[in-house]
Amino acid sequence: MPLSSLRSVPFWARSDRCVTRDSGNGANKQGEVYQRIIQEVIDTSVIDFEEAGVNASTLEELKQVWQQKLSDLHVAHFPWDPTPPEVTVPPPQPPPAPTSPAKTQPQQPGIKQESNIQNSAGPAGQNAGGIRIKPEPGLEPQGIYASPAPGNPTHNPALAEQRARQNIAQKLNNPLQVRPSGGGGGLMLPGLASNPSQHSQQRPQNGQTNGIPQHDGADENDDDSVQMEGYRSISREEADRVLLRRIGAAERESAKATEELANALRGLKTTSSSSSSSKSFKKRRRPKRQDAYEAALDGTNSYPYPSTITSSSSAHATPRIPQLDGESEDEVADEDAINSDLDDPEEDEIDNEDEDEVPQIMLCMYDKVQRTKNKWKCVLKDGVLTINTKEYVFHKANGEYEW
Amino acid sequence: MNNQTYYELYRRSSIGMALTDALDDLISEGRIAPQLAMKILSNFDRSITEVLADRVKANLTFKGHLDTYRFCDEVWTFLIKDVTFKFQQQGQNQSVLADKVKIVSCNSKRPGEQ
Repeated sequence: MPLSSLRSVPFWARSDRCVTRDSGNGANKQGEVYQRIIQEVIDTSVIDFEEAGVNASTLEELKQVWQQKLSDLHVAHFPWDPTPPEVTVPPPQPPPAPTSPAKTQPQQPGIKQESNIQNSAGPAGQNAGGIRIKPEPGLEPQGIYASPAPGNPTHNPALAEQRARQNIAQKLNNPLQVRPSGGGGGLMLPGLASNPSQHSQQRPQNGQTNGIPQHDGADENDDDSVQMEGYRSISREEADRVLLRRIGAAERESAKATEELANALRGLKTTSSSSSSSKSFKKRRRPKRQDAYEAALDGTNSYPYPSTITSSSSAHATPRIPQLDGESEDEVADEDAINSDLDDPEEDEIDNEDEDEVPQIMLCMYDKVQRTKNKWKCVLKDGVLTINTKEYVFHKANGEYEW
Repeated sequence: MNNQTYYELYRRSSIGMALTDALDDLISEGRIAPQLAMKILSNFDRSITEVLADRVKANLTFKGHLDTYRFCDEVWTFLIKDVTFKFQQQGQNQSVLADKVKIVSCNSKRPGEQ
């Protein structure tokens, strides 16, 4: 029975209405065939949906989604698609002129606004995010810090505070009491987040200030006055003295806490405490630092200031600035690891499906396949052929090819 | 309904892939059970086989160079290069060229039908 005689064929899908060759032969016809297949599947699946206790609306949705997905492949034109394929002259496109000004005009101020915001957000964010120290209760006096002198982080009192904290951290050797700037997120260096262009300049300086605490005065490019909370503007020496006083106070406080902890630990470990206490007293004179447990046990430890060299050996470990500018170098992929390129399966062209959504494939049945020497002849039937992103259905196909 | 089995071959066609995708969506949304989806797919196997056999009358011939062939489990697989298809239907002729096509073909005499 010819397709055009089917009652369900929409008038525009009949082949006698086909104007162009391209859309005429395969495309419409198989769109109709596909619609029929879909309808049959949906009809026969009604009972299965009922048996499974699934709402019939889900079946209807399945049909819609199925048709939509098929249309998205653009392998043919389908009866459910909105535009009929016979239209040889495409309908005149609505001129874009009236719509475009309406679209672009509200956009332009929006873009301008955005750029304005970005421009103003740059310095503002620098100032606001520049020095925000999370106060450490018991260790640091709270206060609002003055804005840093722009561009030079060594002027920043926050950095001085940070240095003092690192000092304490190294002396107390207790990461719990002093939070390293990287891990706790308490300290933000000015311009580090908001001004990426300064990264390269600041990075070595940060490394310096974090690695080795500077005890011997100001940086070379420092001038002599410093800004500090509680003080308008004081000389470098004064600032150092103030800082040392604070460090001392903080140390006394934490030493007290450590003593309490040591007492508690002594109760737990009475036998070893006396010997290790004398041992650690000796150890303390060595340049190597005590480990935290021994330091805690050592009640007599008064935490004298370590020499710069001693602390610098451990200083690199304690404060770490999180890497913001890309992937960490620690995470370089191992090229020989499993799932690397070496694991690629061998390419087998007959098994190798194309990456495209629509491969070049013919799915069919064979009636006969014959070979004489290198000449092949085959008779195929009831097939679906997808070629050059177009799809065809056929009843019978004769193929001849040589190997 | 009969007990005849149908090839699952056509599930790889675009219409079969679209159905599989749609069913996958419903399963992943938890709206149907996978068993129901399998049943729908077997309905599809039957419907497409019957519709192709009953409704389609188009003939075509093709020529090309056979690159690879394989016959395994009653399934012929050909990879043909530089292939020309000629469609004949209702007095119209149309040629389509392709640099390659893969043919997967099952025995038209179904198992047990011999």
